[in-house]
Amino acid sequence: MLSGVEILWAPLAPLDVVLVQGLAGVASLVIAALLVAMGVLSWCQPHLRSVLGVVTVVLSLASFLTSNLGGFLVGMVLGLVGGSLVFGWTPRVVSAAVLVLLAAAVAVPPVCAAPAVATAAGPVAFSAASMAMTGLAYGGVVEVPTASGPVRALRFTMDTLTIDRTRLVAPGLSLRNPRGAATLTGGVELYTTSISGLLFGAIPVLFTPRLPPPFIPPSARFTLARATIWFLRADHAHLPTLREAAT
Amino acid sequence: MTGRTRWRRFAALMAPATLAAGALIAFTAEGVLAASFAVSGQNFKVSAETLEADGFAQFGAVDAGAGGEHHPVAPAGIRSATLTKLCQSVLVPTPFGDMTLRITAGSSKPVTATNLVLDADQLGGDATFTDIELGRDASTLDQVPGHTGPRGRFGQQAAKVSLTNLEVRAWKTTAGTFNLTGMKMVAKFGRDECF
Repeated sequence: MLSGVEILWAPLAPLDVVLVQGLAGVASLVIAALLVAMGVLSWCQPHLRSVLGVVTVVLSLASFLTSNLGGFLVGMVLGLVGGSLVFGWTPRVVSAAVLVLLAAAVAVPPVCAAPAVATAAGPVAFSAASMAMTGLAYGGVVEVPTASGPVRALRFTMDTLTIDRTRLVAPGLSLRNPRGAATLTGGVELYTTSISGLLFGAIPVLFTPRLPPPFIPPSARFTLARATIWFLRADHAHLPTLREAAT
Repeated sequence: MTGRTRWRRFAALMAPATLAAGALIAFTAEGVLAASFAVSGQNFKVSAETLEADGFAQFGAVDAGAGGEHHPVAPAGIRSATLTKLCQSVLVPTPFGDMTLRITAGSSKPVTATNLVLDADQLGGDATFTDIELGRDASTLDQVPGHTGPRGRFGQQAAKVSLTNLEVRAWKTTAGTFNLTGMKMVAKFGRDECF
């Protein structure tokens, strides 16, 4: 329904509160920090939007009591609007009008490209202690041609992908790189139906084609990363301690 | 009892046979003949200091067992490879204890192979791939001619692969050509495997 741009109001609201609240005490700081956290979380965890929206609204109302009338009303109103927007936001039910508006606003709509080759019938279970990406871009939800029919998957491209303690379990073959970082560089493409982990080691995230990422930073680091991978390619890959086992 | 060996006749066959055997060994060692290595119901170890390959394709396990024995292998195909310090060893249990059969080659000049297929159940090393694709349908693999798997099976391939300190446990290796330069074959009692 709503573009991510509009949700930006949520994290903006508490900033206002912080700037304006002055010496009104610890409670206001706590509420401001929580509002910031709600804003960040609503980006990263869109599936929690109902809860986050309600909490944001309640916190905004509380900020009226604790911090200079809710940052001279502006912060509170922004918080109320942002929280309600988060609450009301629904992924992927984009009406044509909003799409046109969105396309106009973004100017360059994302190019959705499926892998050029057919993939195996089943995905690969991926896990790693951490994974770091640079030149990261989200390419939207694409249809991957698999041997068991088309599968909707998230497409990510990146310049480099560095993975600590890689573990890939495919039907019949497992690959590990237990020591040293595995590095993939150049034209890295990743097609996944589920990717989760702790963004920057702290924020739990889960992205699926039904819950696509509202925003992706150009470089990111995940710890305790897990993903269901249908296809992965790279110009170069170095696995210093590759261990393969047939299963 | 009543017979005798007609030594001329013996020599008439033995001499050319010896020559032929010698030529076969020499040709294999010089890499003129193709070679295939398989031990029935027994895995063996292959190691190499370096392996530089053009065209690599591998797919998920197929059951290579025969006659009640089952063991999964993930067949790895290599279109053309250059290997140094190649070693293949197999441990054979005998009534007098274990015996190791070991073939080494490529210590002075590299070994080359084309259309090499390793039916491996374990493979390890320091690996660098170029143009790697992971998750491809095994039936559509195209980096090694003829090396494809069943449709729907997990497959991976790369245009080039470079492996150092390669260690493979395999059930079978086959090669279109295998130029085993400087081949040495040693059989001895005890465990003396490649790794």
